[in-house]
Order: sequence, then C-alpha cells, then structure tokens
Amino acid sequence: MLADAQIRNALAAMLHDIDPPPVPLHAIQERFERRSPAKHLPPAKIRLALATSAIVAVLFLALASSSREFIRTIEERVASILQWAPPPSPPRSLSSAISSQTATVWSAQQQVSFRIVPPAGLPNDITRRRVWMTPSLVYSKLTRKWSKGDLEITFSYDRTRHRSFELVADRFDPRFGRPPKYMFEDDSTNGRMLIRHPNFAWRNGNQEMSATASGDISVGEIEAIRDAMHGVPLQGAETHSGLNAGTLVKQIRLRKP
Amino acid sequence: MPLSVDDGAIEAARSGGAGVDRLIAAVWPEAYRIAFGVLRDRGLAEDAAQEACASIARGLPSLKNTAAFSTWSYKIIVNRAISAARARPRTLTLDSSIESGVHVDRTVAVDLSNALSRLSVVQRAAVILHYYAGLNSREIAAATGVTSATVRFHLMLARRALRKALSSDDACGNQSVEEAATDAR
Repeated sequence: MLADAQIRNALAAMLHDIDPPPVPLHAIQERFERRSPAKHLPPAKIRLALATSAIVAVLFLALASSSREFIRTIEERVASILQWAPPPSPPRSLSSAISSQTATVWSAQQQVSFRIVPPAGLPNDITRRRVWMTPSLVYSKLTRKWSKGDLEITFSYDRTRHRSFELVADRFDPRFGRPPKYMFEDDSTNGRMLIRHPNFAWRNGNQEMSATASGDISVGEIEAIRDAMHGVPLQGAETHSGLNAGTLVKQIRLRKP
Repeated sequence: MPLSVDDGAIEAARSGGAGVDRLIAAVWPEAYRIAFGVLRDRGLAEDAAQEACASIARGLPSLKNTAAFSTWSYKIIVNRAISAARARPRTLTLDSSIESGVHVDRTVAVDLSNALSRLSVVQRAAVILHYYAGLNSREIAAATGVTSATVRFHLMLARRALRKALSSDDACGNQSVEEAATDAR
C-alpha cells in the first residue's frame, strides 16, 4: 500500500514531466480584453442618481483649445445658458500634476477600481485605436475642496476620411449626478455662439462610458456601440436643477500623451 | 507549494504593464501542467490555462492577501479546467498521455498518469489540489463548488484507486474511449 507521500511525489514527478508550451502572452491579453459585457442592471437603481456633471463639457472644449482664457470664456457662456455655476479653479499643485499616459486595456485594468468593459460594436472603418489614462480632479460641494479622482480611460479611434472619436470610461458614481444631455462646442466661425451635440452615457456594471455625437460619429453609431456592449442608458440632465444636483463635480483636462 | 511567486512580483503586477506579463510568465507553466493534469488533453489544457491566466490578471486588484496568491491561483486554474472539461466533446479520449505530449520515463509516474485517467474530472482536480497544491478539503470545496464532505469522499475514492493502480503490476491498462466518455460526464 502506497503512502500519501508517495502519491504526492509521483504526482509532482508526473506533472513536472509535462513540458508546457511557450507562454502565449498575446492570446492571454486578448482573452483579458475580450470579457463578456456586464448584464443589465435594474434601471430603477440607476435612475436614483441625482445631479450634474456639466463640467465634462469643458473636456471637449479644453481639447479644442489649450488656452485658459478660452476655457474660462466658454465656461462662462455655458454657465449663462444652463444657469450653472462652475466650481472654483483647482489649485495649481493638483492641476499641474495631471498628465495622460498611453495604456492598454490590460494595463489600465490594473490601475482602476472599476471593471473595464471595452467598447464593442464599433464602426467598421476604424483605422487606428489608442487607449490612454488621465487622472481626474474632483471638487466636493460639501467640503469645497479639490482632490485627485479616479483615472479616466479614453478609447480613441481614427476613422476613414480623417474622422476620429473618443469613448471615455470612468467609474460610475451617483454622487456626480446625471451626465449632461448635451455638449456645447464653440463655433463662432459660423456666426453661432455654441453648437449643441447630443451626449450619451451608459453603464456596464460599475463602469460608466460616455460619447458625444458629432460629424465624426453619429447618434446611430453611438447607440450601436452602447447596444453591442449591452450598456444600460443613463438619462442625461438638461435643466439647471438637474445639472446642479450632484455633490461632486469632476474636471478632466485631457492632454493627449 | 509548487507555485511560488514572491510578494514583490505580485505587487509589481498590480501596478500593471510589464509586471503583469512577468507574473503571467511565472504562473503559466503551473497553470498548464495543472490544467493538463485535470483535462488530459493538450489543446484543452492550453485553452483552460490561458483563460485562467487572464482571470488571474483580471482579479489581481481584488486580491487582498498576496500571501494567498498561490491558493487563489490554483482555485482559478482548476475551476477553468473543470469548466473546460464540462464543455468538451464527450467522445474525446481522456487517456492521451502519449498523444498529448506527456513524456514520462518513470514507471510510477506513468502508472499514476494511467490511474489518474480512470478518475472523474472532479476527482482528478481534488487529487491535484490536495497532493500537488497542498489545499485542504475545505479549500478544494471552495474551488470546485462541492461540499467538504464530498471532497473528502472523492479523495478517499481517488486515493484508493491510485493506491490500487500504483501497487498493482497491471496498472498500465489502457482506457477505452467509452470509459473516457463516461469519465467526462
């Protein structure tokens, strides 16, 4: 009769005689990124969220121009339309420390506190894909202080005919209130002060993803992405009361790495 | 425990990038061997090991105690192997030690390999987790989704079968496809 130790030794010898194939890192990374989309959550839970995050509009405007004066002017114009009061500027010590870095979904997942659900159902004319991470700054209306927030994950896509669009993934937090229903773009060259773009946000588990329709990506294409991801739509806020309801305000200063 | 990864490597992997790659490279050989031990098929084992490695990388941020990394990893690997076994075609030959590239030159190891082939998937998983990974019945129960009592029963049956096979001169009999198919159920 064999002792347990003999079984243990024989088993170890048997397994160690198995010659594993080379590490298929690429295949493992693909599996890591190809996770199944999260299931639908009860809409009632999501609808409980109150509030605002119109500062995200600044994100797109900040991309259009790096000038502080420009941003301030646009903020004032948006504020006057929405009757929305922006928070004070973050301290330079915080804002100067913000820098974006390129990433993969693989590496980004290790650094964020939410489960990343990568985009699906993308238009079929994508020519280039990039991912980068950007720290966000968060202003608390309760403590009236700025602090460093979670990383934002930006999926950036180039398309044919020199078009490009972005999808931004973030941790869902009801304290930020509802996402804005519209984004505003300055278009003074056409004699108009601001152009209104439909903004979409949806939730997969604890991830919130957002995208803004433009000439580079249509409403239908965004909805196709959201549906392919089985994302639960988040209702956008369009009134000043809706936009001002959150207790936290997020500011993202996108600087492409 | 055969799978030994130091805390520094786990912490490095938590911060992403090359750290994750290094950790996966360290885990891969054990993941493949264990998956193969359970599945007895090279293709399925590679598939299950890849899936396990992706799950390990994905779950790292939620792993609170790095000292438990090995046990935690073994559970994931065996779970993936069991899932793969349940999903595989039933006509697959389980006793594929020669076809699948297991080159053993020790008689006891060959006998054990043949004896393991006669066990059910869950029994093989229990044997590997107990005798190779050093997990107790409660930990194996958590990994395989059965009760501790069931694990102990499986281990007892497996131990009996292994002892019988290993102490018998006629332990190298081949397993038929029909037996293998029954085994997979």
